[in-house]
Amino acid sequence: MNKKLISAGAAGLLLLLTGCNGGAAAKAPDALNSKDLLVTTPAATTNLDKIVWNNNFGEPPSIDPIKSADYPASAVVSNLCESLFQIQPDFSIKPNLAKSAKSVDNITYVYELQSGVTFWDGKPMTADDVVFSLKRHLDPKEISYWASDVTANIASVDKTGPNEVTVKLKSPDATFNNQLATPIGAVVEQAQREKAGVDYGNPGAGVMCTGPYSVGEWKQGASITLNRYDGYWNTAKKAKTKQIEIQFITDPSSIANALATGAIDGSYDVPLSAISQLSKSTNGQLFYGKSLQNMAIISTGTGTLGDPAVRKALTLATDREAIAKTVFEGTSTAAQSLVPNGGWNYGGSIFEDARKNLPSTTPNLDEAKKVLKDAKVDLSKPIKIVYPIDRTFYADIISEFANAGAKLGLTIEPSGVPGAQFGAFFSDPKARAGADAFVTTNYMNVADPLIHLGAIAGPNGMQNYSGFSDPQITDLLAKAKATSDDDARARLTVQAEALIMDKEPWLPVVDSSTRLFMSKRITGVPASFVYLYYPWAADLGGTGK
Amino acid sequence: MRFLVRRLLALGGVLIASSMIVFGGLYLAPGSPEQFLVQGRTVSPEVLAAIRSQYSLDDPLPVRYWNWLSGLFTGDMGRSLLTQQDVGTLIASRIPTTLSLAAFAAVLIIVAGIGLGILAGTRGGVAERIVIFASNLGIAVPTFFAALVLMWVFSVGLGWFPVFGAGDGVVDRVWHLTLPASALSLPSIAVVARITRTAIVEESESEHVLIAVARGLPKRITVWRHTVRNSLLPVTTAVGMQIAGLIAGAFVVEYAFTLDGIGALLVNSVQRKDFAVVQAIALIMVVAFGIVNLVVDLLYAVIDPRVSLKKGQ
Repeated sequence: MNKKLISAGAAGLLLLLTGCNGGAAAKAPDALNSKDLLVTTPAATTNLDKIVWNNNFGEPPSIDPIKSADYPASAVVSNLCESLFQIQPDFSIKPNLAKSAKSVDNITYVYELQSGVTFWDGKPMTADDVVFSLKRHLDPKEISYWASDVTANIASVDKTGPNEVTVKLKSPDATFNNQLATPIGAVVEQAQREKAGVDYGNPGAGVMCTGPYSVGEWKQGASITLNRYDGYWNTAKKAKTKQIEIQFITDPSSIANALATGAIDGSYDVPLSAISQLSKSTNGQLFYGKSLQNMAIISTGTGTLGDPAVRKALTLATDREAIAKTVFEGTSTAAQSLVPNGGWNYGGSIFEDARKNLPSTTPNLDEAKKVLKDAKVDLSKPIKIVYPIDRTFYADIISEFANAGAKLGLTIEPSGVPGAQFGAFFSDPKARAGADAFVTTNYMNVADPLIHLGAIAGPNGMQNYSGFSDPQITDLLAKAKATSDDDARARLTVQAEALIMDKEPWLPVVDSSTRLFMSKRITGVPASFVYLYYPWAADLGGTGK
Repeated sequence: MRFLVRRLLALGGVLIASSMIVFGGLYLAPGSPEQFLVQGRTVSPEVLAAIRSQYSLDDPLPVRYWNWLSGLFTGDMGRSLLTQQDVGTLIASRIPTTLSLAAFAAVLIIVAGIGLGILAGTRGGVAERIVIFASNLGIAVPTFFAALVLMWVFSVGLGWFPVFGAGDGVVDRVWHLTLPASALSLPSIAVVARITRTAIVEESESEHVLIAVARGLPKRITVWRHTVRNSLLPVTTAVGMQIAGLIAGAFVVEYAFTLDGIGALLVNSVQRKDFAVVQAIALIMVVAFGIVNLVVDLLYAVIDPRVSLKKGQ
């Protein structure tokens, strides 16, 4: 055994041993200043033939845009299928396949379509394709994961000119155009969809879209290769790299190894356990970008934590700044709101000023004790917080809450369940029964606080897991939705936000940053959290090194 | 011949019983498949109803079992809930990787396991002590740990082997699968080596070997013809069991090395309650296990003809 071998083995063992501590014992790095977070990385200077990327959340089950509602699919489909609107790296939302939108009353939207757009097979995109694509959400047989209260609000979709589509809503929704930047507004070719039948979106039949990349070889279980579409309509945004091979590695240590050895050129959301290894890498660089993600604890609305006073007291007593520093290795900041910091594309100063009035994130035990006096539940009953057992950093976070709870006389019981079982907490009320809360790493689809708050605390919210309902909040959310003026809407949203943060249906923990790693030879992608709906791969090119 | 027929019938019985367990088992886990599919998003009841009807989730369990079983005989294993793909096609694309991995590991088990066992059993001394110590270690180390250490030393540290993927073409594939197959076969090599050693030690103390030695036969002949050959019976069983277990154990290694095999597919499908895929893979594993066992039994008969006579009468 030569020396190199021994040291490599020892390093491996050491890593495994420290890995068992979940990283919490490591020296705390300095807290990240959210103002320093990046929007983009330096622009690419050269075109490349091929880049190998990793999709840390695994293989897309389908690349049908209306079935891409989670990381694995969205991070790939964002390069393939475009929507009528598009989120930009700075979180602003711009018309895309729709050239312009007119609306007079928040009920009727008239879209003029971009001309010269073609699908990968060369056929032009027509108004009929757009009408067909939007209507897919209304057809239960299409099984759209994006069929929601937003799409249920659509009264009609019609072609009203050779290049014009009109959408009528049942009730006013000033957020509607922003929603069309998600796969709700994705356009696919009608003829190919109909021909593909049940195989649509799977490796056999694929999809037919207009994006800067088309689907190349899909090696199931291993990788999918994207090929540049040379007939792409937006010549200013033509892809710089001919082929992007996207791998599906999900194991944190394998991801770290593949990035460290250069077997993979880059990846978004690198695992927390890889941060210290990769920050020392000479092979590439870690970037921290503006994010729309946050980590929170979701109350099920039952048990001791079902009482808003208990939720508020516990949040006040917990040192969430310490969690951001140690558990997240300084890549996060303590959360003031359930709306991630900077997560808005209108009403900038209004949302920013509102932060000053929200409770501070500095722990305050005296205040917490005062708040707890309002609690009406039995405080001696333990609070059970569920987390997926394979994500050990959640256990560290819950233990910090348990420390704070102990100071208030509350007992907190972390309860780890297998990943497969944990998924059911988001979907099955039966699974939630018996638990006081469960953890989540959540994200805003688009930077619109109103959409996000409505999902968490609105009566039919997509993420309202506790049946949370407060007449005053419901009223404010509805009023805001019907207000077309951006600033006026922002002011109403801020009022709702303050009330929601006072009740805390979810306990805010930290606002994340987007952790991006790229090897020295590549650059150009957005550093911010837009890779789920923005064609990030098209910006990717060489550094010339 | 009657021996073979009886064994085949028994295998069929086992398959039917296990297919029932496999089919029913997944229904006991919490969470419904259509809820897993939509990932907790609050989709409209019509969409959930459409999923249920498209995949016949509302039919009674016995009806679904029967439809599934009869489908199997026409080669129709259903469609994946998750990817909408034909399960047969989906699995066919994954089998080559798992089979190459298992075959590679099987070769390692036979060569290294039996080889080390013979070495320890016939040489004794330091070699024996080293093999015993190493096999204790091999049995104790979990596969995922072995995978991590191997990857750290040989891929990241030395850069000799790739960190992920199964490779294309024969040479590339062997190169890609060397570490995964080593990690996968390590515990089995240890078990087989120990059993081989014990069998040889026992055999070398048996009467006929002692007599052969006493008659002054050359050592080469007493060791190979009298000791090793006769000790192969328990070794064959052990090797068979270990190889049969490989496919089931492959998922840990496939996950760690990101190989596109059916083990990784199974884990993913279990997590998403993708019924059709889980059922098909579980059945394939049972079949593989059954066939390997059958082969072991037949080998028994070849090595020791008395076995088939006893069972087949």
